[in-house]
Amino acid sequence: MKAQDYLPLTETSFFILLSLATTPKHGYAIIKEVEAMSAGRVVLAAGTLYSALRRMLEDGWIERVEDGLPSSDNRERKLYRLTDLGRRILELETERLQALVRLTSFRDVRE
Amino acid sequence: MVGHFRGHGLNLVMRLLDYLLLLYPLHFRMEFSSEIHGVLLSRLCEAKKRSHSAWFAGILREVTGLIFSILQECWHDMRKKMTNPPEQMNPNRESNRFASVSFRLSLISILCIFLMLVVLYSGFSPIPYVSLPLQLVLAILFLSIPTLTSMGSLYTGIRSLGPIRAKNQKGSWMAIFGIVFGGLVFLSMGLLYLAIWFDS
Repeated sequence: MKAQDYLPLTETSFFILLSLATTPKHGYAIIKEVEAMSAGRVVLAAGTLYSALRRMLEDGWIERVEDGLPSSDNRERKLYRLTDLGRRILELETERLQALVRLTSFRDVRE
Repeated sequence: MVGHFRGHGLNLVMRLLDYLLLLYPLHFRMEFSSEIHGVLLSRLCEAKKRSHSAWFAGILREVTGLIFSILQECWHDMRKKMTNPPEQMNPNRESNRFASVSFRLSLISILCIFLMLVVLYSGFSPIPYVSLPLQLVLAILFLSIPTLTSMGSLYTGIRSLGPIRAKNQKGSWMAIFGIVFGGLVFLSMGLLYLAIWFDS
């Protein structure tokens, strides 16, 4: 499938991809980043996050890498990072959203 | 005292969530359950430090998220199995694991729902002059009969899936769905029962 075929993204998927755009992160860090980016509006539950991550892994948007550093409970943590396809999808979705915002600038949407 | 109670509360909630994690399809569980456990623990510890309301909101959010995620993953797994049947499966291992887990999970979910109904009922009790402990006792007595009836129905429903599953080895998902949907039916019945009681 081409990157365009996955659009439009759900808000959850968009925030997850956006949080991974800068550096690879593990699950808890993704939740915290999404919460901070949305100013507390989007709070992901762990189940919701991992279902989305599983889907993204299957579709090849993200990949798993070993962290190397064990967490406080001695479990080895996995990091998630964007693949080229994932980055392309994020770029296309951002362009789509920007186009929508531009559209509103031609019209006065406020009463 | 409150902190001590909440410390036990965290252990209890984590145990319940761990049982919920067992309802995920096998491959998902093997891949993600330890990570989900770690994230849940961090999230709930963090919420516990903030306030009571954050702690309860956190539990509610995580439990709801897990239930929806389990349903989603079971549905995904079922569709995948329908399109690509598994080459080799060991049904005995899965069914043994399922038998013990399903029993404990059913018991915990029924107790949780029952407690929730008791709290709901006592909170909206139409007899305001009765003291709170007595309200709780009355609520437990009042809700015991429908709970036992619902437990019986749920048990019969789950057991009745057994022969269907034995006929068709691919039907292991049916029992899992039986538990989840049985729980939802049970919850709806309880809420309906409460609504009828308040209405009358």
